[in-house]
Amino acid sequence: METWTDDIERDPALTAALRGAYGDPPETEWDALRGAVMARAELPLARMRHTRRSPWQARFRALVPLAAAAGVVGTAFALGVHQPEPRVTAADRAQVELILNESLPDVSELVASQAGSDQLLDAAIGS
Amino acid sequence: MSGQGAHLALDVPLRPSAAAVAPVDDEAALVERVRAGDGAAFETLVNRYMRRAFSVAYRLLGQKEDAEDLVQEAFMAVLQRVDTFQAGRPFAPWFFRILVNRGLNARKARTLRAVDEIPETAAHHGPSPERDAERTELRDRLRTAMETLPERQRTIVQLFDLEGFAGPEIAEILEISDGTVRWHLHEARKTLKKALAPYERSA
Repeated sequence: METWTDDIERDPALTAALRGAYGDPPETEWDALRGAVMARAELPLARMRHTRRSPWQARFRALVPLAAAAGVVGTAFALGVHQPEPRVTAADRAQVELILNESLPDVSELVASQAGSDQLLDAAIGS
Repeated sequence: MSGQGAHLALDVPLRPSAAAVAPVDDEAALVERVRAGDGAAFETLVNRYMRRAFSVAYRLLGQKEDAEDLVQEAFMAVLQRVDTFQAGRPFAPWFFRILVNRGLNARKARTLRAVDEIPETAAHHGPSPERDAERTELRDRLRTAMETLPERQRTIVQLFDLEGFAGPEIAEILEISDGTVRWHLHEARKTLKKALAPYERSA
């Protein structure tokens, strides 16, 4: 702690004259003044305690709305925009092919334009 | 200053010097605790400085209620600005800088109630009507001379001669150099002594 030195010469006579002219400050209700100061200090002190106790909480509190907005956007994206592709296995493909072959045996010939008119007719009526 | 003018007022006891109420070692720790919101530490500082703060505030503003308001505001400002307080520095000059700056602003801004009324504590009952008249005249001359001083000089006289602050303390509070404090005090004393000269000659 610094030690203050009174390096300017005092003039006791002038000081006394001034104090005689102005008198001492009046007495006041010290307890009331202290109480008023402490009452006004309660809220700022509480705020300082809270900030000191959870500095990271205080900082992250500002990020809560941002995180909530990000969550909403993410959920909407997952449900609406990003629909997963249906999975088709090799077994499924084989089964579909089998059914097609059984019900439309000449499909490959029809597609290749190798079938005759009778075959086309048969395929159309499903016989 | 010597002579009758001095004799008339010397029965007023002098205030203890600033060194008598100098800050103690634990203030840095107290301020650190206040930073953490410790009410007990803050109350310790309030108890330590409340009376002197009121005295300085009263010198600046001249009214008890204004002085009480200023003391409260200064302590609230301490809480608002405690994070700007430099660790290792003494608390007192920092606190009184806040108080004096606010007091000077208030003195400029407010229409202060008349301070011509003689404080009870300044009233004397001399041994004779002639002596009372001399006291009254001396007091009026001195107060008038103080009013004519530039504000900075008046503030320095109030802090140095009436409140007992040391030159370096005042320099730190007003954020000016020691030499500037010394010069202002010298100039103010010249003016005040000129006002009191008739009393010195009559001695």
